[in-house]
Amino acid sequence: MDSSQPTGSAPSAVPVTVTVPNPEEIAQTRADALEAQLLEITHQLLAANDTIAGMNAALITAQATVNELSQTDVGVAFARVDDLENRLEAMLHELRWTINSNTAVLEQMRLTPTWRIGTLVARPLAMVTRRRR
Amino acid sequence: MTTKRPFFSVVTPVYNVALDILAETIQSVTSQAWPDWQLILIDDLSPNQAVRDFLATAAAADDRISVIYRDTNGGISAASNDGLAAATGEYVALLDHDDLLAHGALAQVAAVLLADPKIDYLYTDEDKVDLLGNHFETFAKPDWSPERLRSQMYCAHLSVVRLQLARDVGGFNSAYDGSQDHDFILKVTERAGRIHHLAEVLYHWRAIPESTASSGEAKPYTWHAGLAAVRAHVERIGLDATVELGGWFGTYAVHRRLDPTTRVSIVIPTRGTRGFVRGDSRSFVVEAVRSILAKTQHPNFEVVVVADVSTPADTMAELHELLAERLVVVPYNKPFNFSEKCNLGFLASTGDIVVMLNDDVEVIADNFLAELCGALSEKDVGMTGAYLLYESGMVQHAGHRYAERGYKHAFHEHSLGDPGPFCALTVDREVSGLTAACIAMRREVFVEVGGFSERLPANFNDVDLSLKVRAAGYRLVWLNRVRLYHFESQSRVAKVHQWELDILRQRWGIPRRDAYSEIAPPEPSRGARAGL
Repeated sequence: MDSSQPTGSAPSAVPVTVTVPNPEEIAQTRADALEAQLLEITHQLLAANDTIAGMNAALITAQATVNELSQTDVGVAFARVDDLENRLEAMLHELRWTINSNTAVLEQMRLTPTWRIGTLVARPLAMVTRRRR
Repeated sequence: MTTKRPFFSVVTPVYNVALDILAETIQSVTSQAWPDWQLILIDDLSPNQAVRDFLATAAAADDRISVIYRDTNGGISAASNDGLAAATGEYVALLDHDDLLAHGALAQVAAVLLADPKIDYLYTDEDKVDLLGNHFETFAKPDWSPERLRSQMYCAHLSVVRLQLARDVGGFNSAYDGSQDHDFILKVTERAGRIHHLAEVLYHWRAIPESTASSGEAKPYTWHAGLAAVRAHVERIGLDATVELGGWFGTYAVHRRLDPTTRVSIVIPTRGTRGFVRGDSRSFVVEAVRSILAKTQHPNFEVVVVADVSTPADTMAELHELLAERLVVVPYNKPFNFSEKCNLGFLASTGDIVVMLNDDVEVIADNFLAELCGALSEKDVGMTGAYLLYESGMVQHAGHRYAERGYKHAFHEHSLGDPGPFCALTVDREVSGLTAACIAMRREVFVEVGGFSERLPANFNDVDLSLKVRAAGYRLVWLNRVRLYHFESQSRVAKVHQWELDILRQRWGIPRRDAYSEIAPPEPSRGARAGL
């Protein structure tokens, strides 16, 4: 506290403003909050129902697979072949996608001034190098 | 209900058929390995006395064959009903006087009925056979598809019906002669407890110049008789619909009415992409909305646009201008997740029915919403979907096909004018799956199955949704008249990750045979048949 300032109980010159909340605004804010909460809960409900549906389906699929495998000795081999084929399919997809992406990038690079200048510089050098060989 | 060996009454109305053909028909029955059958031949007062004499000879040769001689010519329904009245078997099998049962047909049917005695109606695949014995046009039919049966008599031959049920529905009705079998099977399937499709060619339909097998249009009156039969069916089951002749011979168009008070929410995820269509640049979502407004008569709908925050402001302004109070905007500011965007759109929607629509579509069909959503008034229909075409007019989507280890679009890249095998592209029908580019679902069904799985942000989310809806016991119906352009890049190579396939296969296994889009095996060449 600054001791040079007078102290006392003189009334403050600053008016005090008391804001009284509008009941309608309060209700609206609460309604908005509840609505947001409801949306969130419904979203969670969707996710939960999806999980239940997925797990039920997976259970049925697993049971069918077990039944299938239990009936045949070569079932395990078939499952392995399926698995390997799945991996192969996925790898082919990835490979195709990567090739397409790389090709696009390469095409873009070829259009840049750096590439063009580099080619202009590199071409005579390459010719010289080839001659020496 | 019994588990005893099935006994078949084969019912064959006969009228003035060539004797050598009739002999082959009868022989196709007498040569069956399954012994428990009777063949009831009903002569409908054939003018040719030789036919009647031939029938008498056949009956004398095998005591399992009986002949009914009608005093008057009553037509095929009357003759068939005489056969039903005389039948004593547990099941009746219908055989035309010039067609052939396949070798072992009854034994194969019996094996299925023994395994599941609750089956009331069973149908098999079929092919055609010419007078030289060449087989062609193998019809690999879908599993039970009530929507397709309303649109086309696809069950046809071989049909095996529990006799009591055949009698309970009143047998055949002469008012529908020419399509009396369509009427009969519609009535049977309305009441049948269990219906089974035996996916084997067990019936050979004879293609002779004057037969329907040779050309359906040889008997045009049959089409109108079929129309009357489908109309009667629609009335019996209480569908709020009208029925008209379809675009192709033998097909019918069922138009459901959508209650105008039903609120429909169209959810469109977008990021405001622009692209070229027919040489012109366009904002896809704006033009999609414009086409909806142009092709929709249904009054009660809203459009929920789930827009990435990067969506151009002028695009949003255009949407506001076009849709005014119909527009609901849901901002999206996360990394791309198509499933989440659709789910958030659903959460913000208020409709009784929700339509999921890609932003790169353009509605072609008139009365778009009513046609797409009308079928959802049937409680066992869980999802409906549309006929999507590339800009070139080739087919992008006509239902999914899950078979041979893969998930594909059926009839992909067929041309628009192509009716498809057995008019599959010209009739409404059940399918295994529908693309999320344009689907409609009732609100409660979407919640019941958990909407789109957000574990699948990019690929297979619609496959998974379709399979969930089917697993919950609902039908998925593809609607051939609900047509849209889908400007999806035909050359785009979708990046499919192993983990996406793993999720799908963990849930649903590896698809092997599609229930609704089987492809007939290639017909063997003459050389192959001759063993060369």
